[in-house]
Amino acid sequence: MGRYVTSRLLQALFIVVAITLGVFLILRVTAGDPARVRAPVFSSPEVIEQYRADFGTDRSIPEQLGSFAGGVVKGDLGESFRFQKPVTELIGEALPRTLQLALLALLMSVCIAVVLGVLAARHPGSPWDWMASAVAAVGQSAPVFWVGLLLSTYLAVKLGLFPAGGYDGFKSLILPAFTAALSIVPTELRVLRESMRSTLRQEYVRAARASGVPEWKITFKYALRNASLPLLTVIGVDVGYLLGGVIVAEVVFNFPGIGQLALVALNARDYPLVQGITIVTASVFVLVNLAIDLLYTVVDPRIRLEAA
Amino acid sequence: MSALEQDAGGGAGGTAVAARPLLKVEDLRVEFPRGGRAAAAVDGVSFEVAPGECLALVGESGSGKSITCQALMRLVPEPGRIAAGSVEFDGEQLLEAPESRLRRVRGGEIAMVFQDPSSTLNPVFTVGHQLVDVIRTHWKCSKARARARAEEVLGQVGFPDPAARMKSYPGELSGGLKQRISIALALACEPKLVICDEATTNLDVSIQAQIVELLRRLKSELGFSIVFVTHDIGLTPHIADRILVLYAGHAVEEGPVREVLDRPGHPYTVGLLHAAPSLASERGVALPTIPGSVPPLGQLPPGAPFATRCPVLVAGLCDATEPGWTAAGPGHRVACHRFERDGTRGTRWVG
Repeated sequence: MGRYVTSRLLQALFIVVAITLGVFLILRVTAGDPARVRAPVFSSPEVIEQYRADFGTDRSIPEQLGSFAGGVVKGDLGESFRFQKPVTELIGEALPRTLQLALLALLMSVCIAVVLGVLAARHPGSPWDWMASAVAAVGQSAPVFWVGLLLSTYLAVKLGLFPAGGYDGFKSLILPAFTAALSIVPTELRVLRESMRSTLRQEYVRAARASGVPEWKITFKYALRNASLPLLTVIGVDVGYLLGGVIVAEVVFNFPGIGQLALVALNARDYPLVQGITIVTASVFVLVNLAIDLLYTVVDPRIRLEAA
Repeated sequence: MSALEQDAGGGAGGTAVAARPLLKVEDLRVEFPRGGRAAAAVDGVSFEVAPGECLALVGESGSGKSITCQALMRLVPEPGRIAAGSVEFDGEQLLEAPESRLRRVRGGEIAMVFQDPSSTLNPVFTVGHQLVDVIRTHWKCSKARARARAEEVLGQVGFPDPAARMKSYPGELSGGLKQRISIALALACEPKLVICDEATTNLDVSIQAQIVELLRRLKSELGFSIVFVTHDIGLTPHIADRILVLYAGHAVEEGPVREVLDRPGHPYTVGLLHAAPSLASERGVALPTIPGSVPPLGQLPPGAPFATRCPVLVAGLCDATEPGWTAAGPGHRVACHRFERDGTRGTRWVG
């Protein structure tokens, strides 16, 4: 097991390095000059040149890469062009907020998926089943920005139940989290309903019934544990999506998280900030998926046996 | 089918069932909807099982053996339903009992061992976890007490190291060991009746013999009754006291195991006996088979259920009216027109 984790960590490191390198190069070969974006309009070429010198973008790409890599090794992600602040500080502020948002969104989506998915699987063709299909269809087809705007308009602006935007305590998390949750619920719900349906047909469910185990325990303990593996896979993908910033939800609710920061950074051609965000989100994504792979072995001993 | 009881009583007198039966099934009928009509998968089946007795239910697939067992615990899968009959267990009418009472019966007083231990044990919980769960479902006892009982029952089914076995996952065990675990699960709460639904079918022959031997030993030690479902009539003398032969949901022959095997009365029983391989079977010679197959659910012709495949059919009789029971010996009865008319043993006129 130790060897497995080590090799997976090395693999993760390789992936993060490759992604960062890719982003580093793509930023520099695509159009747009951070100095021109940053400099006041109608600045003279000298002023712009001065900005380039400040940003270090006047150097050759290998040179820039060298100093960037040297910084990363020391834990220094450079200084943001746009904010004139260390990138680590900016990310340090935004990441915890996005983590809260992502966690709450994940929690909401899993709760909806488990409750509706289990009920729909247990009662095919019932109103529950119908409702699960409806939620999945709406979640899949309604654009995130539209759902966000609706929620914001009705629940926040008209009824005043929640803040319409910004980051101010738990209450301000609810609407953006729900908006994000609704966009990931459909896959979770469909996957769980399907795996739960087939699990409930398994012999061991019949056997448990024949040994008098109460139905709720059969459903939520015996069957759900077996049916949750595909859901875990989907959750792994969802976490990546949520951490990459639920950009749209963050923008609609003016939520100062990683997604919003990434958007600003990209528009400003803020190389260090984009690179920093890439490293951090890619690392979190890779680590979460590693954690989920390890979680499989906890949930299903058969995977542990195969690995051994 | 009320004639059934009288006929049997008339000819055979007292069967092996001397004391009050533990299980008494009467006129059981289980229906499944087929093309807008209800088709009977089990039709008018009656039998009794005495305390400590083993009754074998024998028949091909589709004969209604498993459905009968599921009906005993009221676990007939949807959309099937128990349409008629009664199941009296230990003096209690199970078909009328409330669901809450049935949950206590299931696993607590009637336990089941299934065909394929690889799929009937939950793969994600340890053996000990599953045993403790079942024990604590029926006995309101502490975890420690349940663990002690679990280890005890693992010892009873032949594990030399119960404490170590508790930590195993089903996937770590071979088919034979898994079936021992299934038996341990069934016996965990000291049931009075154990239903073995093709419990040895999926096992290697040598393992099969071990499991049959284990069941026989446990039955005599612990005194529970067994309903042993099998399609392999050759296995029955090793475990059963009596046999009930089912065909297409109908009981066609019933009697003490030696009596039925030595002097079968129904042509279907004869066919099953011929089709069963034995050590005396000649190598390289195909085993005889019963031509045709069990008619699909809901397509049973009128008359005797076996009429479509019967080699000794009496035209105008067997395909017109359903035969009643005819006594064939002590506790032995046969539902066959030909047997009733000619009185001769099936072996003489079949094969």
